[in-house]
Amino acid sequence: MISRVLAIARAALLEALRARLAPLLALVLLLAVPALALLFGESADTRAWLTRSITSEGLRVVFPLAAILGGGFLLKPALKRGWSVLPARRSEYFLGAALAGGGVLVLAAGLFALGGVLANQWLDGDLTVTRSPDAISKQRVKDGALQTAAGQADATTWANPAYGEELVLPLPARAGETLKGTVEFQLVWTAEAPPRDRAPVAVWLQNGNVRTPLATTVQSRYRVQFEGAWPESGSLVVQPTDPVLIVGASPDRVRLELERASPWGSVARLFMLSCGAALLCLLLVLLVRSLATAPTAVLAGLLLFSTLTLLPSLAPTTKMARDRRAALERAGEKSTLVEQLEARATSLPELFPSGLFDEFLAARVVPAEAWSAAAWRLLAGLALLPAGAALFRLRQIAK
Amino acid sequence: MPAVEISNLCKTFRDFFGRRRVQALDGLSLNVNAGEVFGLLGPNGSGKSTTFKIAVGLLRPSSGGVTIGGAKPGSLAARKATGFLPEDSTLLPFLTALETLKLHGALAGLTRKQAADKAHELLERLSLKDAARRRVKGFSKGMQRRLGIACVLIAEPDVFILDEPTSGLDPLGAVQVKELIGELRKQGKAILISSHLLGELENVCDRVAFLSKGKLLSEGTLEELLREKDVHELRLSPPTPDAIRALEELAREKGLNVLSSRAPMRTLEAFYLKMLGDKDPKP
Repeated sequence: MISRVLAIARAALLEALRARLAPLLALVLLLAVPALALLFGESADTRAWLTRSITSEGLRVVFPLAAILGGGFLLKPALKRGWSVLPARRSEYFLGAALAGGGVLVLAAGLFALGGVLANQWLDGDLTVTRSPDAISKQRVKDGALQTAAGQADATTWANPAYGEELVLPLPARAGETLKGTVEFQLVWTAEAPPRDRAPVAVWLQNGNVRTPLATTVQSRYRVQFEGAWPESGSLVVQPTDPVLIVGASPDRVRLELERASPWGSVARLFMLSCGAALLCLLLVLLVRSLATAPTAVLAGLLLFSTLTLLPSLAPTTKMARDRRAALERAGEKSTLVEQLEARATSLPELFPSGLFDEFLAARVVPAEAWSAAAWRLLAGLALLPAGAALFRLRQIAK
Repeated sequence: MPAVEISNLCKTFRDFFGRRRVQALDGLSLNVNAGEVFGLLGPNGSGKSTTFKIAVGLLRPSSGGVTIGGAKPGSLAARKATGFLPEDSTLLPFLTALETLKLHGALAGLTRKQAADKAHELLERLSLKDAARRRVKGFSKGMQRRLGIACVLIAEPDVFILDEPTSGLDPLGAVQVKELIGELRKQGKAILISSHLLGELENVCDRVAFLSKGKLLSEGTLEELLREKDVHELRLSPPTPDAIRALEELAREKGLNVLSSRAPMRTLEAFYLKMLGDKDPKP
């Protein structure tokens, strides 16, 4: 059985890859991110941001939709007629076609993600340049020089430009090296006037009484990269420059590139998560397609996609907030039907945990839990395969 | 045991609400034995295609049944025992002829080497050797038909179900296919054919059945069905005018009506093949 399934999958994959438009589509997928970033990015900062944005949106939205449309029509064309003459079971044909569809999807997503990485290298932007907060904290414990900030690592300290306040962070001694890193901050707008500058902070190096400006690059609205020569001793100073914006940061949000993280890690995690979610969509659509028409299957796929992506974010409150409200205000009361529906909407597992894509968009490292999230989605998709094969076996084909 | 056994087969197509829409087959029963070529005839909508689709497992019967070598249609045993050539091309357009045959060989359980050897042999036999590495998409209809037949042959099934096997073929190709069917019959294979070209079935079939509106009208050997019992045809060679006149006179003296007396005409197919320098088709 396995050899027959693989033979059918190989033939179907060759069919897809040899289609007339396949080379053109492959080229478009590979060049999509670099071309769009170059076309719409006027400055290096914007291009770097576009590279992250296009990559994450493509993986998050475009691929599952493509999987839904592709899955709807997968069992139809020449292959659908072809299987009737193949000396194999229908279920084997179904599994082979699903395998080939999954293969095409992974290849397409891989080309697109590769385009994102190439754009990052080519346009000299950074997809992700710092390590995760945990890794940074461990490094600081090891260096032992950055534990001087008051309070806990994640406690935010605020600096108001109106009073000349600044955020100061001591640096470990590493003379002779290049000091490079990022600072992520929060902003509070005082509403006294519109914000003025693109970057509301300046970053300085304080060595005794000498203060040297560091070269900065805006990576996102709340993130600035800095670079300069590493002094024998000194402090990093983050100075608010916009009079109407109060800037806050915590020590673990000031990251030094002690060890440059590979941008491949984040892209690979998002790629796996996207492939897992897109395969779940594809296999659900194939399951419906095994008994119904292509439009019905596509509609079912879109319904799943919108349910698992839109509904959780449409819910007005989070579960934590709801629980707190219930505990404080109406403990013991029975919830209404609307509240029950709201609770269900928020408890749905998201197809794409948006936080992971937000991390990537902000040039931070995507957490490692993306792997397990991808694996769960892939397993859920694979669980649909036997049911699809069984249903396809039952189907009558009159035309 | 017959190679194909169709017993009291009924098929009713129903609409979404379960209401009866079309009675495609109504109590069809027939058998096809090993070493026999069986022709299925009938106008459009008579139930030929429905019978074939039930036999290969695409449709389920409403009642009655079909067995292929004792196996249920659609089962792996039945699929392996059956070579089905549908009327339309079912080939994968972007595979080469060689890859297509290797795929069918692999699905039939042949090893890679066996499948490759068999594929080359069949390509040679069906005059497709030069096109072995070309993609099927660029094939003419006749070439696609020949490749479809090669796909059916590579698995060496016991039962062949051929829907319009000579459709799209030139006369020479049609003769090749008919010769091939003759060879398969000699090998003891059971062959079920449908065709709109009645003359072609006449050349190759041992038995035929006529269907209309899903019912069997008549069934029998060509000898039983086609022989005209009140007319006799006599062929002479060489046909001298005196001898012909004398024979006609003799027939009248014996009280017989001479209905026609003329030089027989060759078929257009025979003439075409002679022009091409090939042998005459077998009767």
